[in-house]
Amino acid sequence: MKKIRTISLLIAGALTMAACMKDEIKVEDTTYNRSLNFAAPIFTATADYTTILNSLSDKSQHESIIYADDEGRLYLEYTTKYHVKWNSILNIDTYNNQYVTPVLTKAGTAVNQKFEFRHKLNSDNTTRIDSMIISSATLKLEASALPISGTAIMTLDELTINGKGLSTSWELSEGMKQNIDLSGYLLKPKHSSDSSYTNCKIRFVGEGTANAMNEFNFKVEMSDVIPQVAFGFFGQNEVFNEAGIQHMGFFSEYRVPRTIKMKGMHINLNVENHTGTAFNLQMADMRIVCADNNETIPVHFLDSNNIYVNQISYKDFLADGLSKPKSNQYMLDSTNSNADEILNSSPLDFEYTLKIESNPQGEVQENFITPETQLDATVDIFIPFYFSVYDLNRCDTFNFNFNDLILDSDNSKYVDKLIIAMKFSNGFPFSFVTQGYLVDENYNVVDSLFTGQEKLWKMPEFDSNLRVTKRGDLETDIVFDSAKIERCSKGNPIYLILNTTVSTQDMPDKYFMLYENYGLDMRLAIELVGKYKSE
Amino acid sequence: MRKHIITILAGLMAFTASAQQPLSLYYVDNVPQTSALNPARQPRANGYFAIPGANVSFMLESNIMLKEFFQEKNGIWYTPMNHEFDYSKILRRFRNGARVRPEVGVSLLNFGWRGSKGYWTVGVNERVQSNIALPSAIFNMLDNGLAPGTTLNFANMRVNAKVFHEISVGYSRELTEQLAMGWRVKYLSGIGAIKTDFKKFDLTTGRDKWTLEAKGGIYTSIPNLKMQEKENGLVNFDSTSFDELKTKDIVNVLIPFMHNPGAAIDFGFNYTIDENFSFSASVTDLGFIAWTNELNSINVNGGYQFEGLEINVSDAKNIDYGEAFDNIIDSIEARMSPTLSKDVFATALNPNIYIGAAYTPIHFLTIGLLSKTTILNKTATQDFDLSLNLNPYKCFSLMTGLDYNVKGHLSANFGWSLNLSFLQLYMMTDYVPVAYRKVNIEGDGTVLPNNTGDVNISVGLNLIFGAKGYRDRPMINAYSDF
Repeated sequence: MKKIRTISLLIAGALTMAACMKDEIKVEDTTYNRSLNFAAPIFTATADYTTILNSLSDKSQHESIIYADDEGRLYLEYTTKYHVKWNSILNIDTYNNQYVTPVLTKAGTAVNQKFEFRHKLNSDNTTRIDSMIISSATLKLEASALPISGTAIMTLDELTINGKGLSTSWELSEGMKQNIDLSGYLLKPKHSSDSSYTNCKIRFVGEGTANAMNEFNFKVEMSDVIPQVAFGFFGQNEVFNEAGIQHMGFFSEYRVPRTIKMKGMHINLNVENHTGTAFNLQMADMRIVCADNNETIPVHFLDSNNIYVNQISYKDFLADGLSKPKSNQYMLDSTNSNADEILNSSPLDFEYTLKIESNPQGEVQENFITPETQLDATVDIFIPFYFSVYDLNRCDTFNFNFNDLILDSDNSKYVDKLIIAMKFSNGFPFSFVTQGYLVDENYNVVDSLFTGQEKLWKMPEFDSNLRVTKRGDLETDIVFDSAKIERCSKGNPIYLILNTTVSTQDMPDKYFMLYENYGLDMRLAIELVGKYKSE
Repeated sequence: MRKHIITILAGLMAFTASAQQPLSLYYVDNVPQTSALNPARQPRANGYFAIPGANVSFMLESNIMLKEFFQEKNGIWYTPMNHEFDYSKILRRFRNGARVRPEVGVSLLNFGWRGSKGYWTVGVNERVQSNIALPSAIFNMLDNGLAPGTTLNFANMRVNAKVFHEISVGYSRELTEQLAMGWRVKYLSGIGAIKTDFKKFDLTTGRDKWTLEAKGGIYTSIPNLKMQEKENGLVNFDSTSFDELKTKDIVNVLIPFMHNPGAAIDFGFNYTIDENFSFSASVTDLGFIAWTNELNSINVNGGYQFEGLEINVSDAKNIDYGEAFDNIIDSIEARMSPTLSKDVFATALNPNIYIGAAYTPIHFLTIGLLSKTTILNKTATQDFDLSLNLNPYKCFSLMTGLDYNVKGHLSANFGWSLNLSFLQLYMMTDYVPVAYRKVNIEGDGTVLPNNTGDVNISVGLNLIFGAKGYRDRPMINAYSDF
């Protein structure tokens, strides 16, 4: 038993010696105040020329169409097309005549009478139709009945088919009403000093059946005449006279500030003549209506605003069809007009009157016309994005509740430093400096983002043609230290006013073209240094 | 149904566990489970039968120590929440992750008997081994936040868990009067496993970009887990589902078959130098399981850089942030290229190496010194144990001791066994804290263990046959003299 006690005591002693109570851990401060260090990229943004242009507009949807040429140069182009078709060049006065002739008949007495009616084909006295192969036309004839037992014969020798003149006959006692299809007929009018005409000859052969003084009514109408080809001289006529308005939507959608100077606009009048008639075109009364104030500025064109386009020969037409028209153009630009002045006046509408006159030089060559041939005229306004910016200043106000967006006011005390890191890689040919002001609800400045105007977009590098060859990279930190954070926390700014100035290099002497591939990359990151402090 | 299966398994584990026996059991000869630690050691019984459902064993090992979460500086105590807290001290410990390692086992059948030449043991067990580690990156984040240039290493994030059947046969034989040798062979059959293996999993923060680089995989063999690929060959995580378990599936889970085969061996010796001194050593759980069924492995190899949301300024007013976030997720997925494979993989058991020496000055007292090394993935744990083992009466045994773990904590071992005729009741426990602290946080105080939070406890009920002596010699020749 003694041994048991001894051993038990040994065991108990060992356990007692082994177990012990260490010093008390007394934690007085359970505040969580570990580091809040944090750094992360927020976004990478890309901007192209549309972004820049959209910054000049209040609209979110744009209708203006901007084009790029083969080298990527951007431009605006507004085009109006005019077409003068054959029937405006050659006016055919279709028959639509009614003739009334007295005819005396006696019963049992032979009747043998002739009539001749002349039909003028040219609607104006200067037009002469030498010949025409009719593609389609209808000759409508109507004759009244007479108390004559016999026949009437009508002949039109100027209308032939297969060498034979047009001829038709009818019973005089019954009268006549018929339509004759003239497709394929050759029309070779006779000519007098002022007209091209045909003679319609009618002869009565028969015997009277009553004693009476009669009226012979004869109607003739040639309708829906479409020539396969017509030759002659189609006169000196004004074939087109129309007021034109070209609306330039870009300048109504985008308010281009006066500090952006543009140049290089030109207005072209292009003409392509597929007909066998020469023309003269004239753009008269050219003027610009400005978008700013609806002011009208006349376009001063130092050169002649007439343009002559020769006719094509029938021989060439047979050989080449419509593929080789005669063409001509004139261009209105800064060398021969006040184009730069009107371009920098925010042009809204280009107004003019287009006049087209046929055969301005008289009968130099025989005219011809076919239904396919026409005169095409195009008024083309071309405006390149070729510009210089001289201290373009913008001041934009944004809702920007600093304490809500950046630092919850309750948590701002945990932040020792907040850095908003921006990195711009600028491929546009201008620099961008800015200053931002954080203002309260009464627009009192609480603090500014920078100490002065800060350059955000660095000017890129250019080649000899002033085309961007290397982007300008620049990193800028907006640092909110504890003092600034405290000012913002107390001042409660709710608006951010950004005052920015954009300029091109060596303005205003150098102009820069805007290319399709120009762009801007922007990276925004934040870095936070602080300690979280639980209550 | 799956939940029911898990419940059944968990229940079995809770009631009859025998996997990771406490160190304190090593020199307690009259508890038959001592042979689990060294198959050369023969229990003081001609035979035994472990009653299923009456043996409970549970181990929770961790490298997380309470005292390290409080630091004193100039007489003031700080917690990890305070900026005065120096994280470098705990980061040194957690360089391979903050580890938690629960292990349990289920003894379905366990018995042994003394044969003519040696001692045989037979066991059928269900076992769970797991090793879970929180990545050290979490503590780096708490320490420094996400300052620019911080690289967070998540590669030491680890989930390695397996459930398997074990059928074992052991034999111990006294080759000479001094030397006893023993072995135990184990056939293993896996039920389910999940294993992560990342060679690289780094997140680097910065102003300009965040970079995520990962190379590695998650390997699973989980019954009825179905995963599919997208048309582009990447894993379709949305398709992950479990098929409904059918009777045959339950049978497959509960009864060992030839799928997911594995093997392990225990071996050891006990050398009696003289009547007072003995020396012994053993290796247990040296083996592995090859997972060949119900495989779904996800491999990633790639890198992703986040440079901010991509915005076209012209369209800035119409940004759909939800869509932008989805795009980021899609980009990460595309860059990481998570592919699905059915690759066979292997998981090793956690081998233990025991080396012990015993001194028996009196026949009822043994003083034991024991070293235990457990090899884990890329690391190891080491314990030294000093124990007093008393057999004052044939009906009662007592042990106590001290355990020193090289991670820096000292704890006590304690155990007893009570023999009531052929019925034996025992309880063994390791890692009983020997140092406590009152932790008073802003007035609220509580007493907590100073060092360890580990637990290893085993309580059991055996039927002992022939406890009075060996077949050819008395078990204890001096009870009467005590």
